[in-house]
Amino acid sequence: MNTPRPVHLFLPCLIREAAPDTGRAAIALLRALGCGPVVPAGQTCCGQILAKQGHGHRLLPAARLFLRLFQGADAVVVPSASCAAQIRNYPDLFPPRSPEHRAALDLAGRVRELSQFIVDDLGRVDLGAVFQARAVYHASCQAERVHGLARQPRALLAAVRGLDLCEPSGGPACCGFGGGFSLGHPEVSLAILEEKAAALLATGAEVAVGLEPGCLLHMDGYFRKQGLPLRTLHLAEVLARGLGWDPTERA
Amino acid sequence: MTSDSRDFILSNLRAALAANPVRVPEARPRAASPPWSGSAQDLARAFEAAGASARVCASPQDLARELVRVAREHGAARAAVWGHPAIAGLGLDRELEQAGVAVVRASGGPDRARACRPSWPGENLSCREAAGADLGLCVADAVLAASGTLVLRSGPGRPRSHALLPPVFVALASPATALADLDGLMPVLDGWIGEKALSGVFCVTGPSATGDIEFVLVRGAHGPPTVVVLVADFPL
Amino acid sequence: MNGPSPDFPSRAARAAGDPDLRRVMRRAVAHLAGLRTRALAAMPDAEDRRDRAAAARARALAALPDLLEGLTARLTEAGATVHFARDATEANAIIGRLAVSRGVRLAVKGKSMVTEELGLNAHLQSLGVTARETDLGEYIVQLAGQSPSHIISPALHLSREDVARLFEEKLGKRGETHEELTRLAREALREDFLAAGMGITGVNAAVASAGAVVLVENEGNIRLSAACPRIHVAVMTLEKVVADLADLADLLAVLPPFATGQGLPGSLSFFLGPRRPGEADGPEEFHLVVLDNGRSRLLADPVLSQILRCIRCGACLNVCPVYAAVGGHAYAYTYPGPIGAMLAGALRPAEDQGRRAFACTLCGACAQACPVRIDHPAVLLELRRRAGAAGRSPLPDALAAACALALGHPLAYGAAVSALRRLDPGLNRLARLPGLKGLRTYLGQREGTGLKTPLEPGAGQGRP
Repeated sequence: MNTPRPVHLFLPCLIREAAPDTGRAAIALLRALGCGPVVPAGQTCCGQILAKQGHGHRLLPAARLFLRLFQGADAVVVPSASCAAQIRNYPDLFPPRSPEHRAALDLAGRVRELSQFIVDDLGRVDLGAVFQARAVYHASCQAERVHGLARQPRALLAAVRGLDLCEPSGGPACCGFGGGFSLGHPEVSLAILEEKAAALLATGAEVAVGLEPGCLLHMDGYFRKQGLPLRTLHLAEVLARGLGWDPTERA
Repeated sequence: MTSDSRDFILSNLRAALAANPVRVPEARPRAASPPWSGSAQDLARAFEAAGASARVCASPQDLARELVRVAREHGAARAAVWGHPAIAGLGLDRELEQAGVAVVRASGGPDRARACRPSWPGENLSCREAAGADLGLCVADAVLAASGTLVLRSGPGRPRSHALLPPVFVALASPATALADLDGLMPVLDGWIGEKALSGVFCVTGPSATGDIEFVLVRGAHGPPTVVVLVADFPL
Repeated sequence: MNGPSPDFPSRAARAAGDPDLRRVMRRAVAHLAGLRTRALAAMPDAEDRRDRAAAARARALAALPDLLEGLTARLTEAGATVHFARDATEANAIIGRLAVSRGVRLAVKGKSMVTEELGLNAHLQSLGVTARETDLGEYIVQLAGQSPSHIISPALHLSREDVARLFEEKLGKRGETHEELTRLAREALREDFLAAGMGITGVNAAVASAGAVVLVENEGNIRLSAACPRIHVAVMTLEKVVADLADLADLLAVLPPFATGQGLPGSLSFFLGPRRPGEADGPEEFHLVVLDNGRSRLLADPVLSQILRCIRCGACLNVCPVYAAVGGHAYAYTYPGPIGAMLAGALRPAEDQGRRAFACTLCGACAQACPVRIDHPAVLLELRRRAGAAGRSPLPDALAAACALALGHPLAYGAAVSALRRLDPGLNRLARLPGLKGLRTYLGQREGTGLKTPLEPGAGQGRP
């Protein structure tokens, strides 16, 4: 276990604008762990959807803003594996060996997805959280397959008392969000989600837990429309609530 | 003109590699193929696991009896038989004839495969004969123990169609030619190919099969639905 | 010649909404997943095998021109003829000329994706040569007048009942069970193998040092196509050569397991040349046609050249959620699924316009499944980047530029988001703008999606 120290928190646009409770939970969680956090004002968005739609070359302003907001941060924690990964791509936008390139590389080295920060940096797995629910883990494709974040979120959730966590049969499967894909090909996206939903429902879980806000929002809206007995919760919400955080309170 | 195209394509490829050399990733080398030291029964089990029927034959008489039994079991009236020293040495074509099975021998002599019909280029007579046979008899040059695979070389007296067209394919196999697995076959293949007289090598594992309709496995798609291996537990 | 059709996105959308197709695909995908699980369970050294196969393919690409020359020399020595074709027109002309000059009226064919790419059957038909598909799945789709929907299992989009109806209609024969239907095809094709003047196959791998054309199958139709007719024509794309038998062994350690879940295929054939003197069957002439069709150019591309490692196993299709949702025909191109998206974007960019690359969730299941370690997401992202740089992103340039600007300027971003939150938190009015039909459809599938009350200012201003 390592001594907690204050970290900076980057909140993905989807969390800030469409799922603010997840943001509040992340703040409360990091506070409970003794890690601040500092949430710099003026955050916008990492730009990954633009990057993945072939517009990555336009992201210099976003990268510069990020460097400005987070310079001097000890660690930048992000409750999203895909946003963390996008930030780590910022160096590519700058001419190699330029000062901005160096700064971006340096900062990229200090970006952490939330569960990665808690388990690997802080060395904490059992936070003493208590949360009663039958849950199924949604392994987001980016975290699971691309960024090697299979172990950390599951370890944290496994230590939550009262959380009956299972995996869908058939293993990790795409929910159909894919960022811009869901808007560009909504019918195909829905078909993929239908298969995913069936697998999740078959586990008998009441809540699907994951670390990727895009996936969770994508699924949650569909569950509500279909009247399915399933909701989504971000890992940060499960842990924060498990430590006594009340979503209805405002700081 | 295809040689112009060849030069064009090859020079494109050379220019491509000069501009962008291909990086070869690291890989751990394969473990060497172990020498095989099993029994005829082990081989028989491997063939059965691959979907063939296999019988271990303790003696030449035993093998001849088994062959005749297989022919009777499948109601074979006609057999297409390789002109192979092992088959001749065991007198198997005579045994079959004595049992009332007509034998079509693949001659190794002058090529009689061309019987021109009005529609050129004409049908292969040897294949037509094999198509009329109920049983094909060949000899495996090697067997792969891990997979129950028969390795057949084509050549004079060894028509490819004998292992393909008749519905029952019978192969003679010898433990003396057994290799552990496909990896072990490669150096042997290299040697065979080096002799430069070979037109083809065919590694057959089990009967012909398909899953092309709803993934349901069906035997005998085009090749033989039935494969019988007679494992000679004596020098062939 | 089958180039990628531009109406792929609408075909995909329609297919995703077709309950019959979805049902068939669900079953097919579940079966393929089972094959994959069992194959992996039987291969504890799967990662090592993938490494070796990737290295064998890379070695082949690194020495490709020399290997092609070596292969040509060995095959020519053995009495075969090797032809090089720059494009589909040339390849079709070579094969057509061969058929016509030899008086071939009927050719029997093994399953070959490259001949689909060429549109060879149609070309031969135009010359009065019937090309009969003999692989059962290909035979079925040919009878149905369709194209294959999967690289390994061409008729997986058809049910047994579909096939029974088809055989009754086209063959005048009735069959119910899988066995009966297979037997009908076997009987129908038997005479064709005997009567055909030419057998046409693809190539799974060509071994340069041995001068061997290697083919795998389970049915026996490939061996028959190369045993009975007087001429055997094997067609391959130029990258399918390997250096030697050791490298071939590395490929054979992955191709059957990843393609069909088998250890070894029913038949593994090494074709070394025409029949030798004294042989009663086998072809009198053996021809190999080596096709470029855009691939030599691809070898020069630092990101895209890895596509050339592909061994056409179909593993990427089997795990792709998009393929599972829409099936092979929606792709409207010779090659469906992730490999199809890469090939369409790399070989036919003018027709594909990157559309297939954008129709991907970037889930990475394909890269995880690929036995030769092609990084599909990296390739597809690069294709997207190039499309975007050329102004062909599905996200319009003006909108992207405006968003990118806002992302760099918190005041502008904040103002825009606040305005949207105030005027249209459910985004429904925004979705009615022209060009945002996708958003409309997306929102229509959901409830409660939209902008929420923002985080209170100063939330979480912990002390540094």
